[in-house]
Amino acid sequence: MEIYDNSFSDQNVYGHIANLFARFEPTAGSYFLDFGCGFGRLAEVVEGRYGVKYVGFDINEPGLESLRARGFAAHYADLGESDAALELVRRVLPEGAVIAALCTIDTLEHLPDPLAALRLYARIGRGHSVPLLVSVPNVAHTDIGAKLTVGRFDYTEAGLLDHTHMQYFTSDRFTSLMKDGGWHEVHRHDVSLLRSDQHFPAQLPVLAPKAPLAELLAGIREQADGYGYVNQFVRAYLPGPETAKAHVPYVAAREREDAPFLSVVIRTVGRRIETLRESLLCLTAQTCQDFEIVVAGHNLDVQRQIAVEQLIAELQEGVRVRTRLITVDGGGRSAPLNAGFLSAEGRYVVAFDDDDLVFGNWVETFKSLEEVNPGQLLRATAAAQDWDRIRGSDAVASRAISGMRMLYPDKFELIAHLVENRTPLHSIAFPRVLFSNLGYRFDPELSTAEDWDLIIRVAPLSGVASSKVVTALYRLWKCGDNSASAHDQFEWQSNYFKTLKKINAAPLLLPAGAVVKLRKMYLALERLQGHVEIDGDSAVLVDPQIEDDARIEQLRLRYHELINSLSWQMTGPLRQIRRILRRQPRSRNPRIWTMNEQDLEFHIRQILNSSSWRLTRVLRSLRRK
Amino acid sequence: MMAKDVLPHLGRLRVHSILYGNEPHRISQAVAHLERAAHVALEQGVFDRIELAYGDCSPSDELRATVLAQAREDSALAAVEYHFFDANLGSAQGHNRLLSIGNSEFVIIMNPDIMMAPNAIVELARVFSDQRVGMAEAKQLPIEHPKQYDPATGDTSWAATACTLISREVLKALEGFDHQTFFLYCDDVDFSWRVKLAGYRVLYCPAAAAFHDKRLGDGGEWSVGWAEKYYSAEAAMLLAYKYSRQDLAESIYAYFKNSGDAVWLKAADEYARRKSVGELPVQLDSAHKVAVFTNGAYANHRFAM
Repeated sequence: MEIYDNSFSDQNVYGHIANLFARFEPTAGSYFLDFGCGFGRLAEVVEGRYGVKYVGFDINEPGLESLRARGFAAHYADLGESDAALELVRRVLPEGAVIAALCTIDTLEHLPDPLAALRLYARIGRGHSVPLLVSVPNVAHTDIGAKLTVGRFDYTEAGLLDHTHMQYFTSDRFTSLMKDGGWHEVHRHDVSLLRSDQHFPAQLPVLAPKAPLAELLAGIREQADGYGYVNQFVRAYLPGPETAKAHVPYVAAREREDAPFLSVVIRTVGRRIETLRESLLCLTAQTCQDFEIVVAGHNLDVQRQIAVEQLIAELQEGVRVRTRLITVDGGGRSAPLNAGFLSAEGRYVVAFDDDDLVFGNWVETFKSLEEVNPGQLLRATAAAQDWDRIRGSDAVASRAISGMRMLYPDKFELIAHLVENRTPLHSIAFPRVLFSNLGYRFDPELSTAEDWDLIIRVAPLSGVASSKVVTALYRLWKCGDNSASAHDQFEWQSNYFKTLKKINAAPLLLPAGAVVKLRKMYLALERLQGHVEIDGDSAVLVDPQIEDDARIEQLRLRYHELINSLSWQMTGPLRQIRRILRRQPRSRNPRIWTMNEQDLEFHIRQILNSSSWRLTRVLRSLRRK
Repeated sequence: MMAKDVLPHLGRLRVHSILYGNEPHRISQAVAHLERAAHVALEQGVFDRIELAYGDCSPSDELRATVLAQAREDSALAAVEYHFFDANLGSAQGHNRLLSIGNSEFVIIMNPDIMMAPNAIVELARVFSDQRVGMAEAKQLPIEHPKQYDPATGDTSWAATACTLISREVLKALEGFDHQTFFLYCDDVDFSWRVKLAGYRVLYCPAAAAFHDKRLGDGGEWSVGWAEKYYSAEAAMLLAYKYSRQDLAESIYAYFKNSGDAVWLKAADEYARRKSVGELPVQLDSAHKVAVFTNGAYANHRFAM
């Protein structure tokens, strides 16, 4: 059996190509041209089902012979020789022949210049709007990515990592290639495989279906673009405009040089123009102006949109050119945030409501955090203050009615955030790649707590860098104008439940340091419940000092206690006698302050294992009683 | 208050600000905000000419170039002036110097780190449709001042000169700020109360927002620098004395004297020195009609900071 001789199935790539072909309602008697046809196992199906005439082209003679033996037209063609291939096609088709479709299945990845092949197809198809049906393997299948994390990239004889592949495609790269080749996508019917031919060795923790690591990686991969389980991209195209691209797609610029540090996404429904003006003022007054403003207007009617546009027009030019309004209709509270975050261009993005206030160092503090913690979520501290609205004779204005209250901790604790949100949304900035590259969104299903939901989903991945500097002010409206009063308790609880269910269903990454915290919490809980009594000699370390300095300090203290203990002091003469009898030189206690961790552990062990210490065990147990 | 769409035409405006070693880029930023507010005010016709004048109390005139660079042909600010005082005059005397230079119908006194909202000048000017208004203060953000005001009329005990619009007529009638008594703090409280004694209203304008770059310390505490602590302590005794509350002045003096706090002791000593050499101010408001002394503040507060 030839390695490329795969039989037809409605579920495999042939079946998906046939399905796409049917959508173009082919005319009986027209021609189906299959480039890189191999053994052409599609031939019987397209002729049988749609009455078209199949013609195969390939450089692989066994495949061509197989087709001819089965009664189909098959020709040798080198797709690297465009002009010759075009001439061949013209020669083999009868005068006036109608082409129903061009097809190229799992072929482009074998070519050094797939762009040239696509342009050849475009020359054949452009004049008559002939569709092109294409499939290529997905190099970004979850299995391949997971194995790369453990250093494996396993070429195989055929399959996703066929050893003869010259090109590798993700969905994005494939889309770019087709566009550059002059083809406009009209249908998709990708083939998915939960376990690809790269799913080996299946016991690897990055692959084993129930291994937490595999679950975590697969979850992230699936979130990123939805193609994690796509084995082959199977798509249909019509001829489009030809581009001038001279080479296959590659990433030309790794990072955008001109992107601002921060995108500030302001969510507004246009009803609080006075506070929106104050929020914008807080932004224009920032010490660091390395940001853009995206005003995400949600369900704005004409009057409200004009009012928001006027506010933007009022801004000084230097800020106005960095500010744009996008309008979003429909959807819940998440809709404008998602639209704004997707339109953002900064390295980081932060959400801002149209009544939020910030101090002059808000952006500056985020930026300072980024300098030492690139890629992490950036969190500064927020203070809370009660506000209300007052109505004068002709206008409504806001008014502070309490002092500042420090309701939110000045350091982000993931475990605490699993219980409830302790971070106002405008006090935390997210790396934009979480949205643009990893597919994270504010959950559109949630009518409240969408901020908490997002924070606890992405914080475990990126980590959170915290600053104690107070840079944001959260206005707690005491006049009923807030999300807390707009949604009833049942709705809040229902949304919290949804979020908890979501994060509970997947493995959770905990930051370094979490083990000690969890141990302490667990032991404290056990004690409170009266389940355990742990004393100093227990094998369970109640308060382990695992930081280097603290550990050494703890060991010094232990050594000091041992050598000054009654047991050790009273057995000193015995050790002297034994030394003299054995004619050993007089030993001196080592200098405690010069010892490192290993030295201290050695000397402590020496004492604990000594016969003197064992001899006095009875005394020590009597004293405890 | 007048209806929202009726705006007065107030003639010319000068904006005065006193510098002392400020950061150049923050000056530029403040001017950009002011320029925008001036543009809106000119467009709406509340003023027909707006100028900006800085008085510099810094040890050297190195901010001259920064300030003069703000003058542009296409700016809404008709002029940008720089006056180097070559001495640290304090805010009260500094402003008096600037007041002696111009002759506009209105003056905005503001701190150099104030960033006005685009509509701030218009909203401040709006209330001067009532000719009984002597001065009008903008709402500072993000930390709003806690003093009480009448939500319907805006009437309040005093107006902070962090950002306040004052009519020249009133300034002239009162001969500006009392710089003999007040160096840095409470010159505005004193001026506000004299405005009231002269029969004018002092208003707070919550629709006129001005960003004042104040910060909270770690833990959210309100941190006070040496100058603010010393000069506000000194001013507390002098203000109480000036407004015929010698009893209160003496009680504050005794409190400072027994505090053991070096800054407060120094302030107490200065009060004692002035008293001994006869440099205390002439007393006003003997009937206690305008002055408010309550819990260490000069107005009833909505809350404690």
